[in-house]
Amino acid sequence: MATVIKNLKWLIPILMLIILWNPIKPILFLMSISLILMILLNPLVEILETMTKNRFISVIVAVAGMFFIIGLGIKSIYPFIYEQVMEIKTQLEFGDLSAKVKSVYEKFVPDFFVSTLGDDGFNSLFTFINNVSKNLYSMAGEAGAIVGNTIYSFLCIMIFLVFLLLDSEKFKRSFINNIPNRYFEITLKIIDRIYLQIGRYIRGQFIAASSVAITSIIGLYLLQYFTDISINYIIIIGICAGLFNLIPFLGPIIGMMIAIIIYFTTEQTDIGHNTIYLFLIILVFGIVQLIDNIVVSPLVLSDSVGIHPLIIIILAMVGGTIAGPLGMILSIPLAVILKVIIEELSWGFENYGYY
Amino acid sequence: MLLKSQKKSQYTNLHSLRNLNDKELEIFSSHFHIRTYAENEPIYKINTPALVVYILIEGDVVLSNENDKNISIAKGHFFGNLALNDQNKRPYSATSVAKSIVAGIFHKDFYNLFDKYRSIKDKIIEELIIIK
Repeated sequence: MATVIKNLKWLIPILMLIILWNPIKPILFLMSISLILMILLNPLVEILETMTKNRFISVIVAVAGMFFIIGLGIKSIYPFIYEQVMEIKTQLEFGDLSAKVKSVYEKFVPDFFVSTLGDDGFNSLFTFINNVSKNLYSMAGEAGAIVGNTIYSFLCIMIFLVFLLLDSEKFKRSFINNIPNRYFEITLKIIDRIYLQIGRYIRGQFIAASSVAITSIIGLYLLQYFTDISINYIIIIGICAGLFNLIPFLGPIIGMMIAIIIYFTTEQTDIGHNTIYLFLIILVFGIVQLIDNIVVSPLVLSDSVGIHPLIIIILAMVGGTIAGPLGMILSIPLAVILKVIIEELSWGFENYGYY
Repeated sequence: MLLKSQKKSQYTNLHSLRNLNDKELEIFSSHFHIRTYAENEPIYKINTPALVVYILIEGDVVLSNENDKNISIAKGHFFGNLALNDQNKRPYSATSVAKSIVAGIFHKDFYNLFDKYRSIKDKIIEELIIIK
Protein backbone atom coordinates (compact mmCIF):
# COMPACT_ATOMS: atom_id res chain seq x y z
CA MET A 1 0.00 0.00 0.00
CA ALA A 2 2.83 2.34 0.93
CA THR A 3 4.51 1.62 -2.42
CA VAL A 4 1.34 2.47 -4.30
CA ILE A 5 0.91 5.75 -2.46
CA LYS A 6 4.58 6.58 -2.97
CA ASN A 7 4.25 6.06 -6.71
CA LEU A 8 1.04 8.06 -7.01
CA LYS A 9 3.05 11.22 -7.45
CA TRP A 10 4.34 9.78 -10.72
CA LEU A 11 1.19 8.00 -11.81
CA ILE A 12 -1.28 10.84 -11.38
CA PRO A 13 0.55 13.33 -13.64
CA ILE A 14 1.06 10.64 -16.29
CA LEU A 15 -2.62 9.69 -16.18
CA MET A 16 -3.67 13.34 -16.38
CA LEU A 17 -1.38 13.76 -19.39
CA ILE A 18 -2.99 10.82 -21.18
CA ILE A 19 -6.56 11.87 -20.37
CA LEU A 20 -6.03 15.52 -21.29
CA TRP A 21 -3.69 14.89 -24.24
CA ASN A 22 -5.65 16.88 -26.83
CA PRO A 23 -5.89 20.17 -24.91
CA ILE A 24 -2.36 19.74 -23.55
CA LYS A 25 -0.75 18.97 -26.94
CA PRO A 26 -0.51 22.61 -28.18
CA ILE A 27 0.91 23.70 -24.81
CA LEU A 28 3.49 20.91 -24.92
CA PHE A 29 4.41 22.00 -28.43
CA LEU A 30 4.99 25.58 -27.23
CA MET A 31 6.95 24.26 -24.25
CA SER A 32 9.16 22.10 -26.46
CA ILE A 33 10.01 25.21 -28.52
CA SER A 34 10.86 27.00 -25.26
CA LEU A 35 12.99 24.02 -24.20
CA ILE A 36 14.96 24.11 -27.45
CA LEU A 37 15.41 27.89 -27.11
CA MET A 38 16.54 27.33 -23.52
CA ILE A 39 19.18 24.85 -24.64
CA LEU A 40 20.35 27.30 -27.30
CA LEU A 41 20.39 30.32 -24.99
CA ASN A 42 21.70 28.73 -21.78
CA PRO A 43 25.43 28.99 -22.68
CA LEU A 44 24.97 32.72 -23.33
CA VAL A 45 23.13 33.12 -20.01
CA GLU A 46 25.97 31.27 -18.22
CA ILE A 47 28.53 33.64 -19.75
CA LEU A 48 26.47 36.69 -18.79
CA GLU A 49 26.01 35.30 -15.27
CA THR A 50 29.78 35.05 -14.88
CA MET A 51 29.99 38.76 -15.67
CA THR A 52 26.91 40.05 -13.84
CA LYS A 53 26.86 37.50 -10.97
CA ASN A 54 23.07 37.67 -11.21
CA ARG A 55 21.05 34.97 -12.98
CA PHE A 56 17.88 37.06 -13.30
CA ILE A 57 19.59 39.97 -15.07
CA SER A 58 21.49 37.58 -17.33
CA VAL A 59 18.28 35.81 -18.37
CA ILE A 60 16.44 39.07 -19.07
CA VAL A 61 19.33 40.44 -21.17
CA ALA A 62 19.64 37.20 -23.17
CA VAL A 63 15.88 36.87 -23.80
CA ALA A 64 15.54 40.56 -24.66
CA GLY A 65 18.42 40.25 -27.12
CA MET A 66 16.85 37.22 -28.75
CA PHE A 67 13.47 38.97 -28.84
CA PHE A 68 15.06 41.96 -30.57
CA ILE A 69 16.81 39.81 -33.20
CA ILE A 70 13.67 37.74 -33.89
CA GLY A 71 11.57 40.90 -34.11
CA LEU A 72 14.00 42.41 -36.56
CA GLY A 73 14.01 39.24 -38.64
CA ILE A 74 10.23 38.96 -38.67
CA LYS A 75 9.80 42.59 -39.67
CA SER A 76 12.28 42.40 -42.54
CA ILE A 77 11.99 38.83 -43.88
CA TYR A 78 8.60 37.40 -42.92
CA PRO A 79 6.39 39.36 -45.39
CA PHE A 80 8.73 38.44 -48.24
CA ILE A 81 8.79 34.75 -47.35
CA TYR A 82 5.03 34.67 -46.77
CA GLU A 83 4.43 36.15 -50.23
CA GLN A 84 6.71 33.59 -51.89
CA VAL A 85 5.11 30.68 -50.01
CA MET A 86 1.67 31.81 -51.16
CA GLU A 87 2.93 32.07 -54.76
CA ILE A 88 4.38 28.55 -54.65
CA LYS A 89 1.17 27.24 -53.09
CA THR A 90 -0.88 28.76 -55.88
CA GLN A 91 1.41 27.30 -58.54
CA LEU A 92 1.22 23.85 -57.01
CA GLU A 93 -2.60 23.70 -57.19
CA PHE A 94 -3.85 20.36 -58.39
CA GLY A 95 -4.63 20.97 -62.04
CA ASP A 96 -1.40 22.78 -62.87
CA LEU A 97 0.68 20.36 -60.81
CA SER A 98 -0.54 17.35 -62.77
CA ALA A 99 0.30 18.95 -66.14
CA LYS A 100 3.68 20.19 -64.94
CA VAL A 101 4.72 16.88 -63.40
CA LYS A 102 3.66 15.10 -66.63
CA SER A 103 5.82 17.48 -68.65
CA VAL A 104 8.86 16.84 -66.38
CA TYR A 105 8.18 13.08 -66.35
CA GLU A 106 8.12 12.81 -70.15
CA LYS A 107 11.15 15.08 -70.48
CA PHE A 108 13.52 13.39 -68.04
CA VAL A 109 12.44 9.78 -67.74
CA PRO A 110 13.90 7.70 -70.63
CA ASP A 111 11.32 6.77 -73.32
CA PHE A 112 11.78 3.08 -72.62
CA PHE A 113 10.62 3.47 -69.02
CA VAL A 114 7.80 5.83 -69.98
CA SER A 115 6.36 3.29 -72.38
CA THR A 116 6.97 0.32 -70.07
CA LEU A 117 5.61 1.89 -66.91
CA GLY A 118 2.81 3.70 -68.71
CA ASP A 119 0.31 5.65 -66.63
CA ASP A 120 1.17 3.68 -63.48
CA GLY A 121 4.68 5.11 -63.43
CA PHE A 122 3.42 8.64 -63.85
CA ASN A 123 0.64 8.18 -61.28
CA SER A 124 3.12 6.89 -58.68
CA LEU A 125 5.40 9.89 -59.23
CA PHE A 126 2.53 12.35 -59.15
CA THR A 127 1.03 10.81 -55.98
CA PHE A 128 4.40 11.01 -54.26
CA ILE A 129 4.92 14.69 -55.19
CA ASN A 130 1.34 15.59 -54.30
CA ASN A 131 1.64 13.89 -50.91
CA VAL A 132 4.96 15.61 -50.18
CA SER A 133 3.54 19.05 -50.92
CA LYS A 134 0.34 18.32 -48.96
CA ASN A 135 2.34 17.06 -45.96
CA LEU A 136 4.57 20.13 -46.07
CA TYR A 137 1.60 22.50 -46.06
CA SER A 138 -0.19 20.46 -43.42
CA MET A 139 2.86 20.51 -41.15
CA ALA A 140 3.54 24.18 -41.79
CA GLY A 141 -0.12 25.00 -41.27
CA GLU A 142 -0.36 23.14 -37.98
CA ALA A 143 2.85 24.65 -36.66
CA GLY A 144 1.83 28.05 -37.95
CA ALA A 145 -1.59 27.78 -36.32
CA ILE A 146 -0.05 27.00 -32.98
CA VAL A 147 2.95 29.29 -33.11
CA GLY A 148 3.09 31.75 -35.92
CA ASN A 149 0.47 34.44 -35.81
CA THR A 150 -0.84 34.80 -32.28
CA ILE A 151 0.58 37.05 -29.65
CA TYR A 152 -0.72 34.60 -27.06
CA SER A 153 1.51 31.78 -28.38
CA PHE A 154 4.53 34.06 -28.60
CA LEU A 155 3.99 35.30 -25.04
CA CYS A 156 3.62 31.71 -23.80
CA ILE A 157 6.93 30.76 -25.40
CA MET A 158 8.68 33.77 -23.86
CA ILE A 159 7.22 33.13 -20.40
CA PHE A 160 8.10 29.41 -20.49
CA LEU A 161 11.58 30.33 -21.73
CA VAL A 162 12.24 32.83 -18.94
CA PHE A 163 11.10 30.38 -16.26
CA LEU A 164 13.08 27.51 -17.78
CA LEU A 165 16.23 29.64 -17.89
CA LEU A 166 15.71 30.96 -14.36
CA ASP A 167 14.50 27.82 -12.64
CA SER A 168 15.68 24.81 -14.63
CA GLU A 169 17.97 23.94 -11.72
CA LYS A 170 15.03 24.01 -9.31
CA PHE A 171 12.96 21.75 -11.57
CA LYS A 172 15.91 19.38 -11.82
CA ARG A 173 16.34 19.41 -8.05
CA SER A 174 12.63 18.73 -7.46
CA PHE A 175 12.85 15.70 -9.72
CA ILE A 176 16.01 14.42 -8.00
CA ASN A 177 14.44 14.89 -4.55
CA ASN A 178 12.02 12.11 -5.44
CA ILE A 179 14.75 9.65 -6.41
CA PRO A 180 15.68 7.08 -3.73
CA ASN A 181 19.06 7.60 -2.04
CA ARG A 182 20.42 4.44 -3.59
CA TYR A 183 20.11 5.89 -7.10
CA PHE A 184 20.93 9.49 -6.20
CA GLU A 185 24.47 9.69 -7.58
CA ILE A 186 23.76 7.76 -10.80
CA THR A 187 20.70 9.95 -11.48
CA LEU A 188 22.84 13.08 -11.25
CA LYS A 189 25.27 11.56 -13.73
CA ILE A 190 22.49 10.55 -16.15
CA ILE A 191 20.89 14.00 -16.09
CA ASP A 192 24.25 15.68 -16.58
CA ARG A 193 25.13 13.50 -19.56
CA ILE A 194 21.71 13.87 -21.18
CA TYR A 195 21.87 17.64 -20.85
CA LEU A 196 25.40 17.71 -22.26
CA GLN A 197 24.71 15.47 -25.26
CA ILE A 198 21.30 16.88 -26.15
CA GLY A 199 22.57 20.42 -25.71
CA ARG A 200 25.53 19.77 -27.96
CA TYR A 201 23.32 18.00 -30.53
CA ILE A 202 20.64 20.73 -30.68
CA ARG A 203 23.14 23.59 -30.84
CA GLY A 204 25.16 21.76 -33.47
CA GLN A 205 22.09 20.94 -35.57
CA PHE A 206 20.93 24.56 -35.39
CA ILE A 207 24.29 25.81 -36.62
CA ALA A 208 24.53 23.11 -39.32
CA ALA A 209 20.96 23.79 -40.55
CA SER A 210 21.66 27.53 -40.73
CA SER A 211 24.90 26.89 -42.59
CA VAL A 212 23.18 24.57 -45.11
CA ALA A 213 20.43 27.15 -45.69
CA ILE A 214 22.93 29.96 -46.25
CA THR A 215 25.29 27.94 -48.48
CA SER A 216 22.33 26.62 -50.51
CA ILE A 217 21.09 30.15 -51.12
CA ILE A 218 24.58 31.36 -52.05
CA GLY A 219 25.16 28.30 -54.27
CA LEU A 220 21.89 28.75 -56.15
CA TYR A 221 22.49 32.48 -56.59
CA LEU A 222 25.95 31.77 -57.99
CA LEU A 223 24.50 29.11 -60.30
CA GLN A 224 21.97 31.64 -61.49
CA TYR A 225 24.68 34.28 -61.96
CA PHE A 226 27.05 32.11 -64.00
CA THR A 227 24.48 30.25 -66.14
CA ASP A 228 21.21 31.01 -67.94
CA ILE A 229 19.23 29.24 -65.30
CA SER A 230 16.43 31.16 -63.66
CA ILE A 231 15.62 29.87 -60.22
CA ASN A 232 12.73 31.50 -58.44
CA TYR A 233 12.14 31.20 -54.72
CA ILE A 234 15.81 30.64 -53.85
CA ILE A 235 15.24 31.86 -50.29
CA ILE A 236 12.40 29.38 -49.73
CA ILE A 237 14.46 26.57 -51.28
CA GLY A 238 17.41 27.44 -49.02
CA ILE A 239 15.22 27.54 -45.90
CA CYS A 240 13.67 24.16 -46.80
CA ALA A 241 17.14 22.69 -47.39
CA GLY A 242 18.27 23.97 -43.98
CA LEU A 243 15.17 22.70 -42.17
CA PHE A 244 15.28 19.27 -43.77
CA ASN A 245 18.98 19.00 -42.98
CA LEU A 246 17.79 18.41 -39.41
CA ILE A 247 16.68 14.94 -40.47
CA PRO A 248 19.79 12.73 -40.44
CA PHE A 249 20.95 11.24 -43.73
CA LEU A 250 17.55 11.39 -45.44
CA GLY A 251 17.06 15.10 -44.83
CA PRO A 252 19.58 16.45 -47.34
CA ILE A 253 18.07 14.21 -50.07
CA ILE A 254 14.54 15.35 -49.21
CA GLY A 255 15.68 18.98 -49.15
CA MET A 256 17.24 18.62 -52.60
CA MET A 257 14.12 16.93 -53.97
CA ILE A 258 11.96 19.77 -52.61
CA ALA A 259 14.22 22.20 -54.46
CA ILE A 260 13.94 20.24 -57.70
CA ILE A 261 10.15 19.91 -57.34
CA ILE A 262 9.75 23.65 -56.71
CA TYR A 263 12.08 24.52 -59.57
CA PHE A 264 10.42 22.33 -62.18
CA THR A 265 6.80 22.71 -61.16
CA THR A 266 6.66 26.48 -60.74
CA GLU A 267 6.66 28.93 -63.62
CA GLN A 268 10.06 28.74 -65.27
CA THR A 269 11.51 29.87 -68.51
CA ASP A 270 11.83 27.35 -71.28
CA ILE A 271 12.13 23.92 -69.73
CA GLY A 272 13.39 22.51 -73.01
CA HIS A 273 17.13 22.67 -72.52
CA ASN A 274 17.19 22.25 -68.73
CA THR A 275 18.51 18.69 -68.50
CA ILE A 276 21.97 19.95 -67.64
CA TYR A 277 20.45 22.43 -65.16
CA LEU A 278 18.91 19.55 -63.23
CA PHE A 279 22.38 18.12 -62.73
CA LEU A 280 23.82 21.53 -61.87
CA ILE A 281 21.20 21.93 -59.13
CA ILE A 282 22.08 18.47 -57.81
CA LEU A 283 25.76 19.43 -57.97
CA VAL A 284 25.12 22.60 -55.96
CA PHE A 285 23.39 20.60 -53.23
CA GLY A 286 26.18 18.03 -53.36
CA ILE A 287 28.74 20.76 -52.72
CA VAL A 288 26.58 22.18 -49.91
CA GLN A 289 26.51 18.76 -48.23
CA LEU A 290 30.25 18.36 -48.74
CA ILE A 291 30.89 21.67 -46.98
CA ASP A 292 28.52 20.65 -44.20
CA ASN A 293 30.08 17.20 -43.70
CA ILE A 294 33.72 18.22 -44.00
CA VAL A 295 33.79 21.70 -42.48
CA VAL A 296 30.71 22.56 -40.42
CA SER A 297 29.57 19.33 -38.77
CA PRO A 298 33.00 18.28 -37.45
CA LEU A 299 33.38 21.77 -35.97
CA VAL A 300 30.03 21.80 -34.23
CA LEU A 301 30.02 18.06 -33.36
CA SER A 302 26.45 17.90 -34.58
CA ASP A 303 26.74 14.28 -35.64
CA SER A 304 28.48 12.90 -32.58
CA VAL A 305 25.57 11.03 -31.05
CA GLY A 306 27.41 7.70 -31.04
CA ILE A 307 24.72 5.80 -32.92
CA HIS A 308 25.42 3.79 -36.07
CA PRO A 309 24.21 5.57 -39.24
CA LEU A 310 21.99 2.61 -40.21
CA ILE A 311 20.26 2.75 -36.83
CA ILE A 312 19.80 6.51 -37.27
CA ILE A 313 18.12 5.99 -40.64
CA ILE A 314 15.80 3.32 -39.20
CA LEU A 315 14.93 5.55 -36.24
CA ALA A 316 14.24 8.49 -38.55
CA MET A 317 11.93 6.32 -40.68
CA VAL A 318 10.09 5.01 -37.61
CA GLY A 319 9.77 8.57 -36.29
CA GLY A 320 8.47 9.68 -39.68
CA THR A 321 5.84 6.93 -39.68
CA ILE A 322 4.62 7.92 -36.23
CA ALA A 323 4.69 11.70 -36.47
CA GLY A 324 5.73 12.80 -39.96
CA PRO A 325 8.71 15.14 -40.54
CA LEU A 326 8.59 16.33 -36.91
CA GLY A 327 8.89 12.72 -35.80
CA MET A 328 11.93 12.25 -38.03
CA ILE A 329 13.62 15.27 -36.45
CA LEU A 330 12.74 14.35 -32.85
CA SER A 331 13.54 10.64 -33.18
CA ILE A 332 17.30 11.18 -32.87
CA PRO A 333 17.34 13.35 -29.69
CA LEU A 334 14.88 10.91 -28.09
CA ALA A 335 17.12 7.99 -29.11
CA VAL A 336 20.13 9.80 -27.63
CA ILE A 337 18.29 10.26 -24.32
CA LEU A 338 17.33 6.58 -24.25
CA LYS A 339 20.87 5.52 -25.16
CA VAL A 340 22.38 7.65 -22.39
CA ILE A 341 19.93 6.28 -19.81
CA ILE A 342 20.64 2.66 -20.79
CA GLU A 343 24.42 3.21 -20.87
CA GLU A 344 24.57 5.00 -17.54
CA LEU A 345 22.25 2.52 -15.82
CA SER A 346 24.44 -0.34 -17.08
CA TRP A 347 27.52 1.51 -15.84
CA GLY A 348 25.77 2.18 -12.56
CA PHE A 349 24.78 -1.45 -12.12
CA GLU A 350 28.39 -2.48 -12.75
CA ASN A 351 30.06 0.12 -10.55
CA TYR A 352 27.53 0.59 -7.77
CA GLY A 353 26.68 -3.08 -7.35
CA TYR A 354 22.95 -2.67 -7.84
CA TYR A 355 22.60 -6.38 -8.66
CA MET B 1 10.84 19.46 6.99
CA LEU B 2 13.11 22.42 7.60
CA LEU B 3 11.74 25.92 6.98
CA LYS B 4 13.69 28.11 4.61
CA SER B 5 14.84 30.39 7.46
CA GLN B 6 15.95 27.38 9.51
CA LYS B 7 17.80 25.98 6.47
CA LYS B 8 19.67 29.22 5.91
CA SER B 9 20.75 29.50 9.56
CA GLN B 10 21.90 25.86 9.52
CA TYR B 11 24.11 26.52 6.52
CA THR B 12 25.59 29.58 8.22
CA ASN B 13 26.60 27.40 11.19
CA LEU B 14 28.31 24.77 9.04
CA HIS B 15 31.99 24.74 9.92
CA SER B 16 33.31 24.33 6.36
CA LEU B 17 31.22 27.26 5.09
CA ARG B 18 31.98 29.64 7.96
CA ASN B 19 34.05 32.00 5.80
CA LEU B 20 31.37 32.54 3.17
CA ASN B 21 29.28 35.70 3.31
CA ASP B 22 25.46 35.58 2.93
CA LYS B 23 25.49 36.03 -0.83
CA GLU B 24 28.20 33.41 -1.36
CA LEU B 25 26.38 31.03 0.94
CA GLU B 26 23.19 31.51 -1.02
CA ILE B 27 25.01 30.79 -4.30
CA PHE B 28 26.84 27.77 -2.89
CA SER B 29 23.79 26.25 -1.20
CA SER B 30 21.72 26.65 -4.37
CA HIS B 31 23.64 23.63 -5.69
CA PHE B 32 22.83 21.47 -2.67
CA HIS B 33 20.79 18.31 -3.03
CA ILE B 34 19.44 17.75 0.48
CA ARG B 35 19.18 14.03 1.30
CA THR B 36 17.91 12.32 4.41
CA TYR B 37 19.42 8.99 5.45
CA ALA B 38 18.00 6.55 7.97
CA GLU B 39 20.01 4.89 10.73
CA ASN B 40 22.61 2.50 9.27
CA GLU B 41 21.75 3.50 5.69
CA PRO B 42 24.79 3.65 3.39
CA ILE B 43 25.50 6.98 1.73
CA TYR B 44 28.11 5.51 -0.56
CA LYS B 45 30.17 2.31 -0.63
CA ILE B 46 33.87 1.64 -0.89
CA ASN B 47 35.27 1.26 -4.45
CA THR B 48 32.27 2.96 -6.06
CA PRO B 49 32.90 5.96 -8.36
CA ALA B 50 33.23 9.28 -6.57
CA LEU B 51 30.70 11.63 -8.18
CA VAL B 52 29.29 13.70 -5.32
CA VAL B 53 30.85 15.71 -2.50
CA TYR B 54 28.82 15.74 0.70
CA ILE B 55 28.55 18.01 3.71
CA LEU B 56 26.99 16.81 6.95
CA ILE B 57 24.20 19.08 8.10
CA GLU B 58 22.60 17.03 10.85
CA GLY B 59 23.19 13.60 12.35
CA ASP B 60 26.11 11.23 12.46
CA VAL B 61 28.16 9.77 9.61
CA VAL B 62 31.07 7.36 9.84
CA LEU B 63 33.62 6.49 7.14
CA SER B 64 34.99 2.96 7.22
CA ASN B 65 37.30 0.89 5.06
CA GLU B 66 38.17 -2.79 4.68
CA ASN B 67 40.68 -2.56 7.52
CA ASP B 68 37.92 -1.52 9.92
CA LYS B 69 39.41 1.94 10.17
CA ASN B 70 36.59 4.29 11.18
CA ILE B 71 36.50 8.07 10.84
CA SER B 72 33.64 10.01 12.35
CA ILE B 73 32.56 13.06 10.37
CA ALA B 74 31.88 16.16 12.40
CA LYS B 75 28.77 18.21 11.71
CA GLY B 76 29.39 20.88 9.05
CA HIS B 77 32.36 19.12 7.46
CA PHE B 78 32.86 17.88 3.92
CA PHE B 79 33.29 14.23 3.10
CA GLY B 80 33.57 12.35 -0.19
CA ASN B 81 35.92 15.05 -1.50
CA LEU B 82 37.64 12.59 -3.82
CA ALA B 83 34.75 13.25 -6.22
CA LEU B 84 36.65 16.39 -7.17
CA ASN B 85 39.30 14.24 -8.83
CA ASP B 86 37.87 12.53 -11.88
CA GLN B 87 37.79 8.77 -12.17
CA ASN B 88 38.53 8.12 -8.49
CA LYS B 89 36.99 5.28 -6.56
CA ARG B 90 35.96 5.77 -2.98
CA PRO B 91 38.56 4.47 -0.51
CA TYR B 92 35.95 4.45 2.27
CA SER B 93 32.30 3.63 2.73
CA ALA B 94 30.16 6.33 4.33
CA THR B 95 27.29 5.19 6.52
CA SER B 96 24.72 7.19 8.42
CA VAL B 97 24.83 5.77 11.95
CA ALA B 98 21.88 7.87 13.08
CA LYS B 99 19.19 9.64 11.08
CA SER B 100 21.21 12.20 9.11
CA ILE B 101 20.68 15.09 6.76
CA VAL B 102 23.43 15.69 4.22
CA ALA B 103 23.84 18.05 1.30
CA GLY B 104 25.31 16.54 -1.86
CA ILE B 105 26.99 18.59 -4.57
CA PHE B 106 27.64 17.01 -7.94
CA HIS B 107 31.34 17.26 -8.82
CA LYS B 108 30.71 19.20 -12.05
CA ASP B 109 28.66 21.76 -10.14
CA PHE B 110 31.66 22.19 -7.85
CA TYR B 111 33.94 22.84 -10.81
CA ASN B 112 31.50 25.35 -12.26
CA LEU B 113 31.23 27.15 -8.95
CA PHE B 114 34.99 27.35 -8.64
CA ASP B 115 35.27 28.64 -12.21
CA LYS B 116 32.60 31.29 -11.80
CA TYR B 117 33.19 32.42 -8.22
CA ARG B 118 36.85 32.69 -7.35
CA SER B 119 36.04 34.10 -3.91
CA ILE B 120 34.04 30.98 -2.98
CA LYS B 121 36.85 28.76 -4.18
CA ASP B 122 39.44 30.64 -2.15
CA LYS B 123 37.31 30.45 0.98
CA ILE B 124 36.50 26.75 1.01
CA ILE B 125 39.38 25.11 -0.85
CA GLU B 126 41.28 24.46 2.36
CA GLU B 127 38.32 22.60 3.79
CA LEU B 128 38.46 20.24 0.82
CA ILE B 129 42.16 19.45 0.99
CA ILE B 130 41.62 16.79 3.61
CA ILE B 131 40.91 13.84 1.35
CA LYS B 132 38.12 11.60 2.58
